[in-house]
Parts: sequence; structure tokens; C-alpha cells
Amino acid sequence: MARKNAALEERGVPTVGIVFNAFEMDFNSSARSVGVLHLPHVVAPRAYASLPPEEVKADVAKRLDEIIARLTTPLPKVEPGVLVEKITTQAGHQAPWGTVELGPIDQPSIRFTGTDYAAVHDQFQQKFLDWGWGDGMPLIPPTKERVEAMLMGTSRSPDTVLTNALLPARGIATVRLVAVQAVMAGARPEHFSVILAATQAMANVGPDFIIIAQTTSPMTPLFWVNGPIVREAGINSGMGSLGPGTQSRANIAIGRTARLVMMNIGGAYLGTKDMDTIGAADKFSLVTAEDDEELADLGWQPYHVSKGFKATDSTITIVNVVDHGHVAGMGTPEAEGVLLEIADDISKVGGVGGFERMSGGIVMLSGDTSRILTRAGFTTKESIGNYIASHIHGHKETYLKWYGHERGKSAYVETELARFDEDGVIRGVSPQNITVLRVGAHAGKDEFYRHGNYATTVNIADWK
Amino acid sequence: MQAKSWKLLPGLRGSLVALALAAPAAGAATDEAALEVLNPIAVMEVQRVVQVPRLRTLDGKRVLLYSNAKINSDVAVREIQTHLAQRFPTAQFRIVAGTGWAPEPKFYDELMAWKPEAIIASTAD
Repeated sequence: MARKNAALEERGVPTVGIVFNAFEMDFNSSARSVGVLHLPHVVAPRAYASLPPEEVKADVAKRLDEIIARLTTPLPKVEPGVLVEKITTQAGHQAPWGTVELGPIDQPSIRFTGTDYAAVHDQFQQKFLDWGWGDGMPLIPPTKERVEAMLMGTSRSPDTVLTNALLPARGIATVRLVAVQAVMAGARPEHFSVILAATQAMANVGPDFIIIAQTTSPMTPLFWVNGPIVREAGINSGMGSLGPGTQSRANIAIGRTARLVMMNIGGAYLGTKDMDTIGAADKFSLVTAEDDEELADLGWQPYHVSKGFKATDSTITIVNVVDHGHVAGMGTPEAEGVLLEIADDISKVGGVGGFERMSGGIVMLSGDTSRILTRAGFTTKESIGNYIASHIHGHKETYLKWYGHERGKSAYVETELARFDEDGVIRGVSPQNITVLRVGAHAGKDEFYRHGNYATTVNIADWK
Repeated sequence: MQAKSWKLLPGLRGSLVALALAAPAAGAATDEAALEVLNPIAVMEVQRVVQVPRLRTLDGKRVLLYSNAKINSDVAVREIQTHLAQRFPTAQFRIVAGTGWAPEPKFYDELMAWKPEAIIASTAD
């Protein structure tokens, strides 16, 4: 809401927003990132979404004088010009270990000294985490030498700007700064072109990247890699490709770097702009790949070829996902059984029962399932996606149980209700909502990740 | 005692395993050690927005109430309108139900088409 109000202020209208107190820091920080230094608001003690309507009304009545005052009280004077700031974690924020410290944001480098290696290393780990600059796991110290070695993984100049406004905080991402994150995440130079392309992909998502990076839901980017780079960079497309495990070290390093880029360049720090209520392990790293030879054996098209790239191109694709399901396949060796299980699972919460743009996902099919499907006549990924999409379903009765009227009816609900037919049923979603990938080992276990929105593919050759 | 920088074996750079291997045995090092690392934090550059002066009163003004589709945001703006209409009977009000998603530019054009003089938005979150 801060960005909407800021955009309206920019158009010359005084605004006031009602903000739940846990979101005030996010509200102010988001306004600042678009150049609005004083965005008027009043603070409500509880999220209105969790209150009965009568309590919402009572709270609004208490805040009325303040709402009027915010629209009629002069603001501090602001001079025009460019605001230049470092991305910060909003020092003073309360964290489980205490108050978040403001790190030495203006120093180009930071020096730690101690009696021995262990003391120096401990200081680095402790301070980087205290300053909010890590994902919570140990980091590799980004020494100048290591960053220079990482930069050997691309022909691009270190000063090349990938984006001058990575959302949500609109940080400027240079090749050098991404290399710093890559070192900290444990990546190697042979991963670096993939990492740069992943950063480009995050920027290319556009304004909707805010939805991925700055939400109360556990949304996160899912990446997959296609083309010769998969083998060249040692990216795991087989067993346990999403990790953990040393086989997936490249996947993990690439995904972990993406998260650090989101934080230290995009400003998606937990509690500042990332407002995730519970969180998800998926947010540490979520990178997989398709293997060309596996796809050729099946006669299936690689994802990037279906999007107009050449088979010899190497690409990385980003989508937004929110959670995942597992299809055990136990007792359902029939092809249609597997697909119906996936369709039914996607139809649950967050599927048709959610909102239109959430009714889909990324379906990751294992080796055995892929072969069962091929033998059963599903000779293309498209035919599989079409089948799943046509069997996703929703029932108005169920929907109203979940999103009924006791706490008030949001515009989301109104929109969703209009989608049911006269029998109160939704039968199928657009096939475009389903993306099928061949991922993982030769066993009959499959997964799907819900949502799969904002698919954006970048040619890795641009960053080699 | 002179401070000295330490380096990892080049072939082992970038690895947690390497870090552990490169560390001297516990208690072995007595010299002062130093580690210099690059700052990972980005900078942002944005034009400051010079906001228009606030209103003197809401009397006679066109007040747009924006509900961003979160549950009960519509309840909140309707209640605000009820109270404000009593206090400022010459004010005009319009309620708009919007979206929680990042809006297209035309969204703002549609809001501005009504020529609002004040906007009240609910809720975050």
C-alpha cells in the first residue's frame, strides 16, 4: 500500500494510509525507496483482516481525528534532488538476538582483527549476521581476492549495471556487487554467469517482483536452468536436485546467492521489507535443471526451446512459487492417476480455492513417471499440462467455507465467486497456468510447486 | 605484533570446507590476524518527491477512499466515510475497491480521473 500511496502523492494528492503496527517500518521504508520521505499514515494495533468487522469499525472511529490530522498537518520540507542511500536493515529493529545493529554501510570494505584466525573468522560471521547481511547460515568471507576470482567467471566489466533498481528497495546491482554475494554464498566462478542471469531474471520480472520479495506469504523465486550450461557448470538435474547434498552444490550456491542478492541489493530483509509471517526453507535456495539427454530420450522439448530459444542456448528461468506438494505415486502406476493427483492437489488451498492467478504451478516429473506418461500417450509436456489444467477444479460450497463472510468479504472473494458456473463449479484453468519439467532421478516420485507466476527466461550467454 | 592477512588456497576458494581446512589448528596461532572483506550492501538512487501541501480542511473536498482488497479494508473505508460525512457534510466521497497486487499505470489514471483532493487508504496489512 505504501507504494500506491507514494505514487498518488507523486501525482499531487495528499494521502493517509492505515497501517498495522508491525508493518510501519515496511511502510516507511517502502515509501523512502520511491523517494517519498514522509508518507502520512496512522497505525492500527491489530491487522484489520484478523478482526471481526465490529472491532474494525470501533478502531476506525478511534483513529478518525488522527486520519484527518494527517491530511491537514503540514509535512516537513523536502528539497528536490536525488536521494542516495545505502540499502539497510533498518537498525533498531528487534530481532530474537536483540536489536539489529546498523552495519558500517558506508565503508567499501570492513577489516576484522584478532589474536588468531578463528577469532577473526568468528568476528566476521557474528558481525555480518548482527548487521543483517546474511541468510542466517555461515558465510564465506568476501575478500577482495575471492571476489576478483569470482569475476573471472564472466567477461562483463565489474562495473556493469544489471539493474539500477532491484525491487523492493531499488538497489543498484553491479556485476561486482553480485560477485560479493556469490562469494558469500559459496559459489564458484563457473556458476557466476548463471548467477548474473538469475539476477537479471529477477529484475526482468518487473513491478510484480515486489509480490515475490515483499509479502506475508512464503513466496520465493524458483529457478531452473536449461541447455549446455547445466553440465558445464555442474548443475544437478537428477537425484535431489533441489538439495540438500553435495551433488546439488552448484544449485544451492546459485539459489543462495539469489537470496543474498534479494536481501543486500534488493533490500528484502526479514522484518524490513520481507514480511513473511512464518517463512519457508524453500527461500534459502530453489534451483533445479532439465537435462537435455533425458528430454531427448523422452522426445520432450526442453523448456527454453518451447519459449523460442535454440536448444544450444543456455537459459535460466524464474517463477514465483509459494509452497509445494509431493506425489508419492504409491498405488497409482497409471499415468492418469498421477496427473489427477497433481490436479486435485493444486485444486486445494491456493489453487482454484484461492485466486485466479494462483491456480497453477510447476509440475516436476521424475524419470519413471515421465516414461509411464510417454507410454500412455502423453508424448509432449503440453499434453500433460493440458490434462492437469483441465482437471483442476473448485467448488463454490468449499470456497465459501474457507473464505466465507464472518470476517468480512474482500474484493478477492467477490472476484473469485464470479468464476464459478451456475452449478457452483470451476472446471479447469488455462493450460498456460501449468508448466511441466522433467526433473529428478529415475524413480516414481513427483513434485509440484504452486503458483508459477511471472515466468521470465534469460539467456545466460549474455552474462558469460 | 604485526597484523597479517590470511588467504585460502586458490583452488579451494569459495568453499566452506576450504575455510575449515585453511584455519590453523585451535590455539596454534598467536600472531594478530586480520581479515578484510568487501561491503555487500547496495546503494539506491531515487528522485525525492516534493509532496503537495496538506489541506486546510476536508470541507467541500473530494475524498477518495481506497480499499486494497485485504479482508475488512472495505469495512474500514465504509466506516471512515460514514464518520467523515457527518463531520464534513459538504465533502464528496467515493469508495474504490482496488487490488493487493502491483497495479498497472492505468490504475492510477482511473483513480485520478475523479480528481480526488485527498485519498484515504486501507489497509497495510
